[in-house]
Amino acid sequence: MKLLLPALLVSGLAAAQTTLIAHKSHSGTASTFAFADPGNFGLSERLVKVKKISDTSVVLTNLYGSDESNDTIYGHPIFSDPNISVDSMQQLYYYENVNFENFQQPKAAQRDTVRTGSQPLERQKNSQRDHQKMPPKKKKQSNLFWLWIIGGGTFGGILLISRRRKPRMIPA
Amino acid sequence: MRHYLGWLTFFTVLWWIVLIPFEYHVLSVVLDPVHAVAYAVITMIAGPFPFYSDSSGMYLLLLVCPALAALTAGFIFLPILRRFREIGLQLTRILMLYFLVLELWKYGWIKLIKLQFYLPEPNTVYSPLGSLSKDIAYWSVIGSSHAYVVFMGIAELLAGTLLLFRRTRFAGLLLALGIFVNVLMVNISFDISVKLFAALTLLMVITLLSGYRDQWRFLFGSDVRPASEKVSAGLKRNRFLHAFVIAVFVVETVYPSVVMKGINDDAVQRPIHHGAYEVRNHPEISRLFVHRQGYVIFEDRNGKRLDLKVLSQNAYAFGLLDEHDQQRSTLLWKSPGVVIWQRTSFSDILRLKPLPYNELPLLQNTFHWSSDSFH
Repeated sequence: MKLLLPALLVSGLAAAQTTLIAHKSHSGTASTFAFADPGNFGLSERLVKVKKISDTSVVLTNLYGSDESNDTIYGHPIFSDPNISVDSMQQLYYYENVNFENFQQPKAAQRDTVRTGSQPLERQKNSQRDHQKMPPKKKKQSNLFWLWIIGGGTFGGILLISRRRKPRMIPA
Repeated sequence: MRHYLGWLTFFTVLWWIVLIPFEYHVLSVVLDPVHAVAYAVITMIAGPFPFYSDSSGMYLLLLVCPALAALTAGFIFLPILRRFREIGLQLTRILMLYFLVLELWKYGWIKLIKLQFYLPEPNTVYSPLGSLSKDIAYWSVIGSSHAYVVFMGIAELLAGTLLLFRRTRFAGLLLALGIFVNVLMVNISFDISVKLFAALTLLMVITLLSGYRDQWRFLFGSDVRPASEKVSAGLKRNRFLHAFVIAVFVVETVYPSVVMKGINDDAVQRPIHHGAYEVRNHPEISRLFVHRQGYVIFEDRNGKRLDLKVLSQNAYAFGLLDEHDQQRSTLLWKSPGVVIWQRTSFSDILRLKPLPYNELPLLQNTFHWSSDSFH
């Protein structure tokens, strides 16, 4: 039963169309896209500095030619994630030429406890609270409740109807 | 031998139903682990095969299922199972019948709630027709008509329901015959990758129809055998099992509506920033689309497109991933009409103008009894 409940809720909406149709619905490839290297166009802004002002806010400093502009971003999906180190940002996300201010490397103990799922999970939750996430538990339970009602009602209804009729032989 | 062939047929159909790589909701609790094990074993023996609709792996199942059936049907010769030897073919017919009920209900319902043939996405609506492959073009045009999709859904639901009752089963099978012939021809003609499934489901309908000789004789005006000459032997239906199976089918069918909390996918709220945008200031990027399945699509001035998966998002920012080269970037929604696309240390400011894609002719519910207004 314990396995059945989350399995039912996590299965979600199965693809109503073929996988190929779903892929073609949004598909497009970099190999055919003309916009390859932004450096060729000379009209782009370049990110030069990211300054952390709180757990959830950063100030991005962009350079446009010789002009600087500053933007305060709340809940940046990369820069406000405490689990992404500066090294990762520079290597994985290609921000190697960017200066990062007020960023701390994730602590070893913090990393370990994140893996085991204890205390800093709360901090992780807070930093992700604005991000789209799985539906809350209450909604899942409400869905399951209605599914049981529909299934139980159908089961009972068919039993009731078949009880009032003579038992039939299923034709060969 | 006759009995063995009957059970061989039963287990072939059963293994096919169990192993086809289709997604279910409630039944996935049982079927997904079976698929995982079966596909792993097949891969170990025969090499890596993709298991999707109309993939080589699915065609391989045409050989795997009879082979598995040949093994499992042998169990019927065990003394303890002696009394079941004669009912193999009857059980096959029952199995095919219930499978058809499930599939007709399942696909009928998702048509009815506009989930299968969905309203075309902004990037599709702004695609030149000639640039679309037949399958996505067909899917999008059909999805643009709510009435027709609902009509198809009602027809399939009706066919599935008629199959449940002995008196209406022949009529239900005739309706199912028309439905599946049409489905198969559409899949073949528009190169939609559900050909194998449609063909075998049609074969099931034809197999079941072949057992109604008297009804066919009546349809074509031939003499029908008197009722006293007919043999009415068969299996006794277990009420509880039948009710349980139908209840599971109903839950499986309506599951998407329960999760969606509605019966019209067209009316479901789209994700934040969903839509089509004209990019006014960039020399190469002409349009930007936000797709409801979690993709941002950039279009250049040659009509070529790049789709990036949205890994994480909030109202202000999307974390994007190019699934082809795993390169990441971010899209920051700075203010209405302005976004910053940041990648590889460079940022592009894109000034956007929302495009009224909902007002395009394809998405209008037009209807004319008379053509006079066009002349």
